[in-house]
Amino acid sequence: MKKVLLLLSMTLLAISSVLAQKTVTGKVSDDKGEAMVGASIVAKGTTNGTVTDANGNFSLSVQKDVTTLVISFVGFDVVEAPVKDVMNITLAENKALNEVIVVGYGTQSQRDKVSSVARIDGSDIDNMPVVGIQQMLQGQAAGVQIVGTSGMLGANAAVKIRGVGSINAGGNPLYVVDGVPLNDDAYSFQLGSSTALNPLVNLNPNDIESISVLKDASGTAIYGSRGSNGVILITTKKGKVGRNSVSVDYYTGSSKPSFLLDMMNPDQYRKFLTDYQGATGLAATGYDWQKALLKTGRITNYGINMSGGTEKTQYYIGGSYVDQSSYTIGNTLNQLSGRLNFTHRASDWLKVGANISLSRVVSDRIYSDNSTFAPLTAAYLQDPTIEPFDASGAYKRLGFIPNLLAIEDLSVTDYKTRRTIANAFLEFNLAPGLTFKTDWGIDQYNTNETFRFPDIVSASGSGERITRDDNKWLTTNTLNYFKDFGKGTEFRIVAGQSFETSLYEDIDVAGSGFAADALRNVISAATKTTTEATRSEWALNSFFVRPTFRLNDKYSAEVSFRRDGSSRFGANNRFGNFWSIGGAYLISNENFLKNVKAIQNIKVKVSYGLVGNDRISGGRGGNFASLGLYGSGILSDYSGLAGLRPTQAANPDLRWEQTYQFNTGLSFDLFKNRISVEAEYYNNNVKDLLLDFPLSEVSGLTSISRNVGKMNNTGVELSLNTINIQTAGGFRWTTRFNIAANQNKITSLDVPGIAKDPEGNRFLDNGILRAVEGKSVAEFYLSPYKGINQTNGNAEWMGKTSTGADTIVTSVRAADRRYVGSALPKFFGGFTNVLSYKGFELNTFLTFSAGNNVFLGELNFTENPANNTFNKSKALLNYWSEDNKSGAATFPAKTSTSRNFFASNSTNQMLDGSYMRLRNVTLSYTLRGKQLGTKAFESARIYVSGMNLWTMRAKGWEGRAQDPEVSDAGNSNVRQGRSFFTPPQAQTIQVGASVTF
Amino acid sequence: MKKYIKSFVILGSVLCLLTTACNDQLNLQPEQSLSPSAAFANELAATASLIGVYSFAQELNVFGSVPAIIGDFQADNVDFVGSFPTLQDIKTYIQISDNATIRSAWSNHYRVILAANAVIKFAPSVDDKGYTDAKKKQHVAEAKFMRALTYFSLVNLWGQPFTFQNGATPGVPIVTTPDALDGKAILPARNSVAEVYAQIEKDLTEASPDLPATYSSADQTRGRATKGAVAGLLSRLYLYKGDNAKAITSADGVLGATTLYNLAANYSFFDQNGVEDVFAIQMTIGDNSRTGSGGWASFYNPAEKGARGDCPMAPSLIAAFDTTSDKRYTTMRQLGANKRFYTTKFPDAVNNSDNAPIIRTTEVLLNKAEALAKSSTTVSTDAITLVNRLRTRAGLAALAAADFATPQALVDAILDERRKELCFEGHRRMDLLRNGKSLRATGVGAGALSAPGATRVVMPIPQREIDLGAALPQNAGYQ
Repeated sequence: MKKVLLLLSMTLLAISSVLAQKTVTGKVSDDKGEAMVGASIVAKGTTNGTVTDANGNFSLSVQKDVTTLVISFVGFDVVEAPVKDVMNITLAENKALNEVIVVGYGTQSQRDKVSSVARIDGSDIDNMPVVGIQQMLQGQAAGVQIVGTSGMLGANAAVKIRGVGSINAGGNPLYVVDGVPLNDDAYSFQLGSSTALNPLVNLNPNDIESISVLKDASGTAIYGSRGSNGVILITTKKGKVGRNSVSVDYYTGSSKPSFLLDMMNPDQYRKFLTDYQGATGLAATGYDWQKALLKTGRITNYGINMSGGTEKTQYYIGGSYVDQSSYTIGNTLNQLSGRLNFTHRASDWLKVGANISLSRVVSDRIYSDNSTFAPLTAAYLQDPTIEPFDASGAYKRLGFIPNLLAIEDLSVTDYKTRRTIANAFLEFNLAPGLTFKTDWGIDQYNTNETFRFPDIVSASGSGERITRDDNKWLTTNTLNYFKDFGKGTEFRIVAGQSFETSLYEDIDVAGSGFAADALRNVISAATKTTTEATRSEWALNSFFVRPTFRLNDKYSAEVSFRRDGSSRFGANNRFGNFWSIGGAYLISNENFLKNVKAIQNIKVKVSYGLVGNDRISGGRGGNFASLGLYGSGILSDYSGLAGLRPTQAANPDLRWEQTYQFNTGLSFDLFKNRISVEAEYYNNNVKDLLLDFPLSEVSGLTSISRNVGKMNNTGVELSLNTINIQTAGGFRWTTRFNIAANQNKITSLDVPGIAKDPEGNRFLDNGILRAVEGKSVAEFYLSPYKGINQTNGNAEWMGKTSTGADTIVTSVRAADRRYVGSALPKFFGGFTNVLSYKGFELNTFLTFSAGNNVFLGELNFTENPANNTFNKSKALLNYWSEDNKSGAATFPAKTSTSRNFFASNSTNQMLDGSYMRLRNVTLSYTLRGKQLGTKAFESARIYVSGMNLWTMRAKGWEGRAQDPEVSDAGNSNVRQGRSFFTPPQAQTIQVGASVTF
Repeated sequence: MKKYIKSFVILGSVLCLLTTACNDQLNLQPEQSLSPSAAFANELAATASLIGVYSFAQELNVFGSVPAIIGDFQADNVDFVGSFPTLQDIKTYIQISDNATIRSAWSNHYRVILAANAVIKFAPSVDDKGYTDAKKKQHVAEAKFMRALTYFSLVNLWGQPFTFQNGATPGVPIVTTPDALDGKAILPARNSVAEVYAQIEKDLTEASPDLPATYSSADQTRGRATKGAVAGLLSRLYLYKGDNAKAITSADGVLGATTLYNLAANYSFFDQNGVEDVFAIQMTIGDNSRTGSGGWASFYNPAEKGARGDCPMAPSLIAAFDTTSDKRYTTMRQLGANKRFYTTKFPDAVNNSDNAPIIRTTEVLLNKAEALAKSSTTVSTDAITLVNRLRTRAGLAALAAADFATPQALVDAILDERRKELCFEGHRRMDLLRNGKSLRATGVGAGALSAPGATRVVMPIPQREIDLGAALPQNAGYQ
């Protein structure tokens, strides 16, 4: 490999030395005639360029056959001007469509693009009091559905672009930071839940310049086997030529849970157990566990960055520290990160650069969801007559639900991650229009988990230490060629090769039996219970090419192709080809429309292509999914003898999931860009789904990885940006609105061995959810709950007779289940309004989701009238009795046998998950140094803002349930819309200030 | 322009070179697992694959306690103070076919059978000169013993007792080949209880001649298949079938080897791999990671010891003991913080490292006593002599023939002794059912609802199997 690179560099040097040059000088001013500092001047189709100095002047040396220069400045129209020796350029105010957007292995202008890309500006997501960029993207782009999975710190978010892209393979988009695809495997899970912790928690949002969400094959085919779930490209801030600028950010805030359950107090609990269950001898004591385990959360953020540069060298240095504590005791998280980005023009044919970020996240974790060690779960369920302290004030050892005060006080549950994401590149200007770039990147992710439970929590004490490393490196080598034929006709092509590999390693040790709680480390354990070390590796080798052609400034055509070879697939199907083809037509550039004042732009576009999904079993667990396996180690041993156990059946034909994606869109910019509308329609057909194909467990295995089945996602998206009012006096009201509707349908599971329900529908079983042929991937399958019969106090469900007819029953039976609704929303989106006047700005941001159902597993416990060991919801006091039979009773009579079934899974625990949420509201005031006539600072902004201050839920939530925005299994495709005491989203109020010098 | 073309050619070649060089790096192998062929490549690997059969049998849902827990929740030895809805449903006799605990028990039993089938099929043809035929035969015999033991556990949970309609009721599917390893979907039909019993008997009879009486260490002599283990299991099988003569002969296969198997002097024998253990699944601290959400000790200890604490003694069991002098009560109980008594048979609630007592000498002795009592038209003094050995150890007075009016009275007394001796070891449910008795005298499910042949005394076939279209008719009452 090294020799090859040496050869490569020498070749490039040889070519570069022979090129002829000339020098162009000029000045750039704005439409008011003022000199523009830091405007960018680039020889078209190359990376050769410069920027204007403090007087707006520039000087650029270009190769002789360069005919056009591209002059740009943020917020202004891009101008392309023919090369002259002296050039005077005037830039006009921005037209939104001329924004440059980052796409795979390059950039494109918003105006010409063929693909479906949503661009999110870094400033739209600044200063949100959450750690994790996905949560910040919620509601920002049409068709990008983001659900916060839990209110726990460091929790993941479920991200689905244009619906559920797969069934059993991973549904996450590919995240790419400055050209480095990130490691985003599940490293550690939320304690007590199957949700992976957020692998993107290390990115500092203040370092982000922009985010591009690539949604269709035209955008993602260049990422081949990893494109089908969409690609999220994150570009970090770069330095700009001109004055050095320093910016300081600070905010602080406090948080509380957005919703809580209303549980019985000790008196109500005693009364209920006595009256309803006939209990006697109940303790007269009581304790408010909710009050003890909840607190006010805090968040404080400090950020500083500095950027600037000369014509040759530009830099950006950023650093931030966030310190956060949650609304439950025992949960903190702090993130420290630093970044250095720089580029340097070493000569007129060579540019070098690097983007380096280092970060560390330290978290004190809590359990959540399905765990009695979870503060919130325990706060709700702990018997309220039990007290945490004995007479001497020491912690008491409690029963099945342990003493959470002792756990959070005395246990160690630490999680630390360190991460380096970096890339360095050399870019050679080989010939007019031709550049070669070689880019080397790494993503080194290290996580450390420490557990230590004292004697009072885990008899004799226990401890564990896990360290994980996932180290990726990649090289990307691309050739770019550009040829301008004039009159809006041009050709460009990018072709390249990439090799990417990642090695995962972990070590896990655990022990029990400690002489004292003060002995913190596993070495002090008398008994070593776990000693493990594992490795797993994958590699991807790729070739790609993307030619683009533009004709007469009206027609664009684009083709992408990528060939991927992956270590993860069967020997018979290791290589795959992916492609897309698309075109756009700028109708507004036709002569008959050119002079219509009201129209700035009308564009139609259409594309079709094939992209893949390589995330078998979600991540590294699928690295060897095609092989037959016998597992070894501690799971296979017996009485000290080494053992081997069959764990997986072979499938050498295993291959990519393939998605054929069709996209078409229509966009308008009207009335001097005061109204911008973009509407898109897509139709995505997935085939060869990477299924955990179910086997009869009589075979000894549960499933085998097979490519089976077809699925379709069809949808429409609408984005609307308007400037509603803009007065000469400086008042401005703008609106951004997006909405998307997606219909997910499994079109075929027609393979022998797939389960059928009594009605003959083929389905894949995921507990109370099913992926059903002819329906969606997440359909609830439950007995319909009818309510309480007010004449006899029985709880009633809709059952089926042996012939399938409806009949009322008073128990929950498997045979009565039916499809009662989907966990997928019918539509969702975001709605932003910005009112500004002089320095004041009020920004309100609403998100919404509608038509989905949520199953609340906590109701199996909080509303279980038959159970006598856990605390219960206050609502249970409203049970049917001779004194309460007027029609309002919502729980069965104590004598009714139906009470034993009441808490069994049925639609009784399922609610309409539609909601609208005031995600963020911010009031700010910005003061410019100019206004005070001072140069001491450039601008200062102070603000007060609130997250999740208001949420509108559907009927039936009040008093029974918490947050409708929930997903207790993270980004699972098949387990959606479920909660199990999942901590609700935090409600945060913050104040902050930013000053730029 | 010519120059450029040349450069393109060179660049192009370099890219192709990179692409090909990197393709070689796509052949990656897992480092923690082997292919099925490597798992039978030589004696070392084949032995490990056999050990894997025992390892699967250790699992929580196989011999790691869950079948015993299900049995105890169905019968009358324990109360339920836990939180698990799947277990609560079994306790209250409302379990349905999508019960997750029942499905796990089903699937985990068949994993043992897959691993055993693979050894039986592949071990004989392993190409390794050092791997002797005798060794291969022994390994096949061990796998057959484990397969038989696992089928016995399956048929007890999912089928009515043999004595109900003489085994003509539905049992469980018999699979004897490891087809799943080739990725083949198999949908076997349900065999009758009698057919499953016949398969178990066949495996055990075939295994016995190839098995050793002992191994080089105590944990293996007690923890791996031996001639004694086969005899012990056969005595239980025949007793369950009602074939008393064969039960007696088989029992003698254990009881005759008195230096190897005998009654321990006192009750400190649990987890000791001594003369009391005919076959015990060995559990070590390292196994906790696989039985982490439970285990014998976890279910049967009070919560404050780090256990789940689901299973305190039921009042009906306590009432069966002579609470002042029976050492099996006075020395083998502990009081939990919840004021309930728990057994002390499985003390390690932290690591769940207590061995699973699958076949004990005492059980074999009780098997023989019961078979003797049942096969005799008079009150069997031989049976009484056997039972008195246990009673003496327990600190109780010896029984005499005169204490019993009828042979049936003696049988009942032996069953009562069996209950007190073997409580919490997974015997009670089948001891009642096979003798035509209801599982509970009082409370939910009492009487006819828990009598042999009643719908809910056997587990439902997991709904998933039915949905996948297997030819597995559901047990009555679960459709």
